[in-house]
Amino acid sequence: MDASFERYARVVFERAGLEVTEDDLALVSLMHAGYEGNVATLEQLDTGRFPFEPIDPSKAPER
Amino acid sequence: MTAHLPDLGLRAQAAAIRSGEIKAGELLDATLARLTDRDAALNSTPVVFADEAREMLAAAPDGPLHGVPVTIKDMYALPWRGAHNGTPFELIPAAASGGFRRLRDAGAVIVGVANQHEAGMGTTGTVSAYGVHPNPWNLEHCPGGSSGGSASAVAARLVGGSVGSDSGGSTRLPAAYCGVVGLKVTYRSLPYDGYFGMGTTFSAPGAFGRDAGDARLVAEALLARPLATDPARELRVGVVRDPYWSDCQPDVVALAEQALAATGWSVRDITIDHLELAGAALMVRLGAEAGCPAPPVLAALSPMTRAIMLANLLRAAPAVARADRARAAIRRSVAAALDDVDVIAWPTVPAPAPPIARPFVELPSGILPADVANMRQSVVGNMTGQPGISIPVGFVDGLPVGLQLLGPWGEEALLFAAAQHVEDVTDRAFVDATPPNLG
Repeated sequence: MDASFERYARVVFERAGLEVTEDDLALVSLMHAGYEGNVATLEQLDTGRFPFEPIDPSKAPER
Repeated sequence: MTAHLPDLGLRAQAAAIRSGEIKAGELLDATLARLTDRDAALNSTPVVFADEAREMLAAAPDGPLHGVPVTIKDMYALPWRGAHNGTPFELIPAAASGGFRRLRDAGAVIVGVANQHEAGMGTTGTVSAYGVHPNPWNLEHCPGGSSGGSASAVAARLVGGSVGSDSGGSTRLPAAYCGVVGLKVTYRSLPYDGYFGMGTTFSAPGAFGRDAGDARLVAEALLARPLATDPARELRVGVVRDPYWSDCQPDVVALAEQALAATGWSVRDITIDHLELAGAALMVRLGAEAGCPAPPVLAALSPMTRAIMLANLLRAAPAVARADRARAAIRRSVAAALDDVDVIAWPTVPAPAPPIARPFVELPSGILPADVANMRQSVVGNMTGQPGISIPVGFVDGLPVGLQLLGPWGEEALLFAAAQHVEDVTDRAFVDATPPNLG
């Protein structure tokens, strides 16, 4: 597990009042690797072509 | 001579009560007996309410489901039991949730809580506070999830209908694995109070039935409106080959193609821009929305679910904002596609239900966790909030698979009509099939 990730995760969990084990951290690291893959996909977005716009999920999508 | 009554479908049960052919009390007794006799191996309905069911029956209004027993997923608060979401904890206090009220007002009788994947965080049903709940078609295999208990109970003829939920495919996927019809309704098309899915922008209740007509009856109750039954003999169907068809097991693709070919519909390949971003956008955003439960709940979860919840706390705001940009674009692309076609079709699951002991699937791209492969097939409907349905279209190695249709906003009636047409042209071979060795 990456040491900087472990430090970051421990701080976040401690501030949230959550006790975690080494096994927890190992699995969280695995989950986070998947998340990082998703983030990498999203970071390829050309923000000029994907403007930020409010989404109202309770309304039908419009073209 | 009432033991066979649970074998009737939901609408047949409702019609028989309405005509006086059977008494609702007899049906309830037969259903409770069926649950006792048959669910020990399936564990689809781990909490059964004989007393509360009798009270519901005594007070049941003269609605379309008058006196008909159903189950409901552990995500809905009931007046006598809070929602546990597949955990040992009451996460939403006991109350008459919106889903409960809609069933009650239709005259339905809730006989029990449907098992589900722990915390709704999986598409296999391999983990739950209530224990594993196998697939009725093969007890060694997953029922799907997270609404696996709903799909299993309907497939095994324990009840004629059930209510689930769908935040990332959780109705459509188990419906496909268990060989029943499952429809995710349009987002926010019924009151969400007392429903665990109220905490995300992706979740919608789901209706399960043995066939389209039965699932329609459940959906009509949830939506509190009748759905038109116009035939769907002529539809324009869009097919997005990549990734929805290209990375599925060949036998699954063949069955879905055979079903589509039999319909006589106008089927053509289409493209939908930005779909390659759907999985990443949903996982980033859904994780952020789901968050992490309080420490006592977290401590009681299985290691994998606990890790998922903990990892949710590590979501970065810039990534969530990018996920929203992608979601907005995907919503526009899907809306544009549905200008030219009536529905979009693809296999519900890329492979049949994997073994409980090893919930992975082998696809042309390699061996993947079933959750990853399944959610790729389902998340777009949650990104847009539009209704989606899974229809049984055959068997691979004795396990059911399904065809998924995504329809326009609020067009549940169209999806049920399409599903019924598929059933008609396949001679109901798959919706009338019964799992073996039900006991």
